[in-house]
Amino acid sequence: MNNVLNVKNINFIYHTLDKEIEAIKNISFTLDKGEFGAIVGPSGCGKTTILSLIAGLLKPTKGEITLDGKPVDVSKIGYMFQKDHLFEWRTIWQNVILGLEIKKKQKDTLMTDNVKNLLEKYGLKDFIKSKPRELSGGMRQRVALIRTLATDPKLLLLDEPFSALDYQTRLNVCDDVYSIIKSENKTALLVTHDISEAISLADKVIILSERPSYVKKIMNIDLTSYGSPLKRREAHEFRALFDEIWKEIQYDKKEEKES
Amino acid sequence: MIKKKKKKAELNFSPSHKEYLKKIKKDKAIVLSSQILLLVAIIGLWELFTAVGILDSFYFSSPSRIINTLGEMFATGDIWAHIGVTLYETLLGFIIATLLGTLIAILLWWSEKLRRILDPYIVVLNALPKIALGPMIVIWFGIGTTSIVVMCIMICLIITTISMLNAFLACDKDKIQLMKSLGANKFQILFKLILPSSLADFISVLKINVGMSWVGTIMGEYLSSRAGLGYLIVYGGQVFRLDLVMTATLILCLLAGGMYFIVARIEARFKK
Repeated sequence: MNNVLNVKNINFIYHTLDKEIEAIKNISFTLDKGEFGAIVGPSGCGKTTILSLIAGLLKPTKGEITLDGKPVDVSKIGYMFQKDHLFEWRTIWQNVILGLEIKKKQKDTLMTDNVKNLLEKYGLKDFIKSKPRELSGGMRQRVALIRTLATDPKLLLLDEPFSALDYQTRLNVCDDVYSIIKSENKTALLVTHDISEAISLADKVIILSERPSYVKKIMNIDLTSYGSPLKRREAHEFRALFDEIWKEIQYDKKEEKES
Repeated sequence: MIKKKKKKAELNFSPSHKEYLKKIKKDKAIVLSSQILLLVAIIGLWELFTAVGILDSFYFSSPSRIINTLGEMFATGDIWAHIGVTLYETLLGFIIATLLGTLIAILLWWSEKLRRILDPYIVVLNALPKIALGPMIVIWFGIGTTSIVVMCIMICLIITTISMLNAFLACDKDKIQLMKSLGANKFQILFKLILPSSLADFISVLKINVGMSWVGTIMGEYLSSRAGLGYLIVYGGQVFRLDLVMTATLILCLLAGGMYFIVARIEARFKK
């Protein structure tokens, strides 16, 4: 079994004062080693909740999530957010080793050398002593990714990591992040509301319904044009895939209106 | 090295940019000279009006009488004791209130339960005019330094706690989530995220407390004291020696200004 991530029949209910809300209904999917998954769905369908569940920051009401066959544990996960959340009072180096510091491994030369290599490889070596405000939005997001990779996570969770960037930066950063994740051979799961972003990045797109969300469809993306996300966008079947996913999501909305 | 670079860059400025820099320099000069002129005018008119009798110097004192009083006080050396007492009380109150208030804010941040339990008490204590506690404080702590420092702490403490707690709670939820996703425990979240991200708020609390601690100390000295600048002001008021009142007030202005200046310097250092 080479499934890295195995999400099995998870349900999630949360409570407010007036009622309890069923956010997630029986969701299952898997990701293989090195696979890039993307979750798309209408807004408010609980995409971020799913990531929190997989990260182990929330416990599912029912079902189980395993990583390499073991129950999920936050220390095996790397989480990337919409904003880079670099700490302004720390230098770039201090920012990227934050995770190691928390795990008290900042003196583990094997780990820190790995971080140094990553910084060098992705053009940030000269900025080690800089403060985050001296860097461009794209560079900051790369630093955030290296901070996530520093602790050598088994699985990367990306929560709309490009949506705070302007369109041009976004396409560039998307390329950067994709190539870093692929060359480090990391398994990753992205949530996004941007369908073309999902297609251009993912090997597998998981389409969710409105709340209470369930898996409507899982599509394997196998494009004729491959390489970077920008290249992948040039594939002739891109448009058709986009329409197919769009319809799946829209269909849900129509149903809602009619009922 | 950096200075040299700056000089070189200045030479390359275009005429319009030089013009712009000149204008800014000129504006600065106008503001500063106006400030000095205003001070000179106030002192000059005050002296003039009291000299020709428009203002009665018995009630309004006068710059020359203040200078005379200052001279006398420094000659006998009494003034140093008064300054020393007030400065000691203010600094002690300022430091204790700032540290204790921040510590309480940390405890309240740590435990949401505690925060919810104590919330109404903090609201009431904040609204209460602290001077009302004066008689109680004097009865419990006696006449003198202890009472005055306690008064000073009472004035600064609640506002410090509230301001710092608000700063702690304003921390971005996603940043806390990030720390959790990196496996941080609550201590690490506190020391690596919450406290450093609240540094700017801490410095603005320091600035507020500079003012508040002087209010607390002088109020305390009004209530119960045998020495200090507040004591001189009350005493001077009671025996109708306005020269003494004004002189003590002037020294107070200088001390409070100086303390504020020091905090502003600390702030500038951290902003670098």
